[in-house]
Amino acid sequence: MTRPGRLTFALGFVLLLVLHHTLRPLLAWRVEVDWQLIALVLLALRVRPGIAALTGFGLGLVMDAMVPAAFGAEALALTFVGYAGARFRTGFFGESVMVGTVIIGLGKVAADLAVLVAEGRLRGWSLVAQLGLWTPLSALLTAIVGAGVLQLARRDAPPPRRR
Amino acid sequence: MRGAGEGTGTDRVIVGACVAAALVLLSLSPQRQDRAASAVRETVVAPLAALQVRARLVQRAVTTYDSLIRLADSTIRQAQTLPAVEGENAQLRALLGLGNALQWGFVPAEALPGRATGDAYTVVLSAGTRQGVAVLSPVVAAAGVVGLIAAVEETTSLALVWPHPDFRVSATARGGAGFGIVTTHEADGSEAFLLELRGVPFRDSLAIGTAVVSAGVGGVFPRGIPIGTVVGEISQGSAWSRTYLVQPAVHPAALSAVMILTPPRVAAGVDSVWKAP
Repeated sequence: MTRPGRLTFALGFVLLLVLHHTLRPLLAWRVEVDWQLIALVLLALRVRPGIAALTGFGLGLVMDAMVPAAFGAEALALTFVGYAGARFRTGFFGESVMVGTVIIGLGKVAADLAVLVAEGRLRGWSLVAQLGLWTPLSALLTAIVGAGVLQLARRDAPPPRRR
Repeated sequence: MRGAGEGTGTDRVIVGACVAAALVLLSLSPQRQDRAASAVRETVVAPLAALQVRARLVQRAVTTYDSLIRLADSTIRQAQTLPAVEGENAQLRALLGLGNALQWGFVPAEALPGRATGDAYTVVLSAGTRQGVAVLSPVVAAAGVVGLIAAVEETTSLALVWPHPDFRVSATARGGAGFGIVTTHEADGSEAFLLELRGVPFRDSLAIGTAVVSAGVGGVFPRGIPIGTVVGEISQGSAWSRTYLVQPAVHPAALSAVMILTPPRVAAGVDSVWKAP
């Protein structure tokens, strides 16, 4: 990736994180877009798995700190999401928007599931509604927005060089 | 940034370390988790919290500007029915009224939203030790009890909101009858987000609609802060005490601006602030 390309990419990454901490709470929709997850997968499709996992861990830790009841759960989930994103690219599919979108969707479900299991407080119908309705809808919305972002990023930045 | 062909030993070590660290954090005791979370909030989250506060202010400015423009318009009556703007304005007006009534000994704060999943029990507030917030300070809104401060950092604090299973407040009916302990009512569906007033002596029967306020026992919440309204009695088979279901005065989902009472204010009391309607 060229230097201007890297700069654009870094700005895009930061912009997504800013959106996560400004636009998401402002909208406060029950079905939300997880901008942070999109940023992570965007990064994972360009860097090595270790870096992607470490970034996922850091981003998850920040969200965990806001709600310490399940401290470490989101960090764990996003570590796997970051690693999986980078591994799928390097091992199987290359930089594919489709794969990125699927990882974003599944990653959102995994992150929510990890938090709910670790917290263990949502039970009964509340848990069913969260896992059966709100989480899938949020995952779908995040994946749709993520697909757009990934497509945009692919157009703006050339794919990484292969060794 | 490196391209393809990764998945080296270094990557696996990094991933393993991250997973191990996350598992260690998950297995920590709640107190240690709180300390670790506090450290992260103090360093990394503080700027993000400031960002969220600014975003909230921008949102408020936009909605206020919007409503001011509409005030000048002949369609003002329609605009005033916008539930979001109306609700927020009402909340802020009430909070201003509360500020006037309290006069001193409080710290205004913004409730910063966390993640959307399972986060109804705690909330990060935009005030910390720098503003004079201390652990166990009561958090109130214009309508009544919100929760109490569980951890404090320099510019932020973590409030434990009343749906939290560990939340307790001594309570009594307005007027002094029926002393008991209010705690969260653990149920699903329509009864989720209700409170229980437990341990009320059997001789004290509370009618539906009775206002429940803090009793001032325990030193955390001063006497006279509204908690909610009795909506029914739960039969628990106890011969000596009654348990009542209480509709809370403040719903956590509606939280945006709150006030944190300082220790001197708690000691002085808030007897005349929340008057009976």
